[in-house]
Amino acid sequence: MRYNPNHRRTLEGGLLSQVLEEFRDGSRDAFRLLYDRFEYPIYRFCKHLTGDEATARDAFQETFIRMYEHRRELKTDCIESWLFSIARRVCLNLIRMRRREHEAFDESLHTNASTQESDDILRAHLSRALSMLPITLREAVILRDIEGYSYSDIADIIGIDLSLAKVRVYRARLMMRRILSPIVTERSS
Amino acid sequence: MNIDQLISAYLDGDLTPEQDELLRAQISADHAAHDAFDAAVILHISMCCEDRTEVPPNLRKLVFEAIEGSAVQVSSGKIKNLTFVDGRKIGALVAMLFLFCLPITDSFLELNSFLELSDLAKVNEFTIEANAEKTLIAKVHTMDVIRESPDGISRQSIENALVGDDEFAAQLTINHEPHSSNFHQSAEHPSLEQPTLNSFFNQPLTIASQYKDRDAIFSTEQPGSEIPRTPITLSTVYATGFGSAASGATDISQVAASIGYEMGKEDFVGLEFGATSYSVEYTSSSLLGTSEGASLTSQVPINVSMTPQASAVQIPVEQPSKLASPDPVTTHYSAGQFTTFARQSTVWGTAFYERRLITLSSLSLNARAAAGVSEDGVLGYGRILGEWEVGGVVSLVIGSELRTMPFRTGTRNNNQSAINYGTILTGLTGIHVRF
Repeated sequence: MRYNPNHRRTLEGGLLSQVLEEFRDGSRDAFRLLYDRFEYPIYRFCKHLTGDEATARDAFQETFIRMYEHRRELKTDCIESWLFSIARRVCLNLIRMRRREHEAFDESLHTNASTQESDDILRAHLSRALSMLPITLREAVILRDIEGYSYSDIADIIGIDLSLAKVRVYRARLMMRRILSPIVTERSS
Repeated sequence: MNIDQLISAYLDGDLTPEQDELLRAQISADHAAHDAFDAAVILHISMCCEDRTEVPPNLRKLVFEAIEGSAVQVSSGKIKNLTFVDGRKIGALVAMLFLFCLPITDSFLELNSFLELSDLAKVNEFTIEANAEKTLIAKVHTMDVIRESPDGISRQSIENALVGDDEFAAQLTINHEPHSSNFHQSAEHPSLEQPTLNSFFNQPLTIASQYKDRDAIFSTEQPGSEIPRTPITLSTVYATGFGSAASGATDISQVAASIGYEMGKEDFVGLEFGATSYSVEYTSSSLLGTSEGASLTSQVPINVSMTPQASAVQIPVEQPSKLASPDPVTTHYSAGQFTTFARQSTVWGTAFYERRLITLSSLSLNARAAAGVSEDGVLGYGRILGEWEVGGVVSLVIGSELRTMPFRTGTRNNNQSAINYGTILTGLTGIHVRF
């Protein structure tokens, strides 16, 4: 798995195994280390998947609380897949519960174009475009293009076949490009 | 591969040299392909790099306080290696095993009596011989009565009834309880005990009424000649909730399996085990919109356990991420709060008493009352079941149930078990197997 450079700490090899062993026994220190290690990617994943910060906060808390409560169910050292699977389920539950109508997107694309920097506009639109994707495509492209996971890891986390993971990422990219083509074209020109 | 697939493979770094050459050729030749490639690369870079999303600093505190609360609760509930939850489960299991012993004991006793009656042919043969012998005894003693009676009317009437009328004599026999213990003794040892004279003349009305019901009197069916069967009923049912009251539980579903012991033709006792799954509502609140210096008390999510110290924490103003939506979605929720649901489930065991109220051909209507324990407390239910015997030992059942049981609420994140009793109405269907 590729790790984002923004990760605060790196737990690898023997150290990770030792930490996980203590974590399974309920060690608060081990949990703290794992929290520090995965705090940022999990929050970012929740934020992009849910599409709003309030839901992301709740999903984030829920994920780590579940992680601690179900620590004995972690049978292997693949804590990343396990933790992202938890986060994914939590996010999907929250999204399902808080179904909200899609906001009018096209109209807002150019509303604030003159008042913000182009990069920030693109990021804002990226966030919105992500939220417009079907959830199955959204989670796949987030794990691939934002979190940098391999297709096999994505398949493990989501619980689908490798080929289906590739198809979902491909479709998500295509849909994102079509949604954002006016902005990207304007920016590149 | 079309241009989109080539671009996607390029972004993944999976292009073969031939595909790379093909992509370059298409980009050079086709302006639309060139634009698509540029857009894809820009988006990819924007997504995977320089994400300035920050984790809100207060989340760490909230998570760790929730974890601490969870750990304290678990540790305080430990008895050696057992938690309170384990203790409740073990207690429920012991109680159910104890209750299970009663019908099992009765069942063994009843099977023992079946063994005594197992040779039906022998029993029937014995009964027929005994009847004939008793008829003869009755004739002899009746004639003695006629000869010795001072009452001419009675004498004449008895003579008229008796002469050439074996049925009357047989009737006297039947009226004298052919399966009583006295009769059995007299059949085997006629000299030990004979019917007394008074026993015939003290029951003239009974004899007359039985004589009228000739078919019933001379029925070939002998008491105790029914085929013995194991009085055990197994059943499984699935129930889904119609509604609930005062529990906050919704979307209720239930599965159960039971074993029953037939205490007669109409009554059953037994045990039922099952699991109930339900959704409970809980409320969370967001911290969005919190102003500087605001107290956390009124806005902290209730799904995180808070200590008194935490309630005094001051929330710093957060710098909004540039990735955040320009229009905060919190405007969807009043006062920053929203409601969602948590799925809960509990296992339970009950002891029940069931009575067959109405039987109509292969249809019957049964009522059941039960009491027992679940993981969270005691429970009870009343159930009405319509049963259709489809053939052999199998019956289909459909019915409704009113159940009062404990529901877990507020346990989503803070591990503070709030148990609320509620009553639910469910519809159920299932299968009975009566051996």
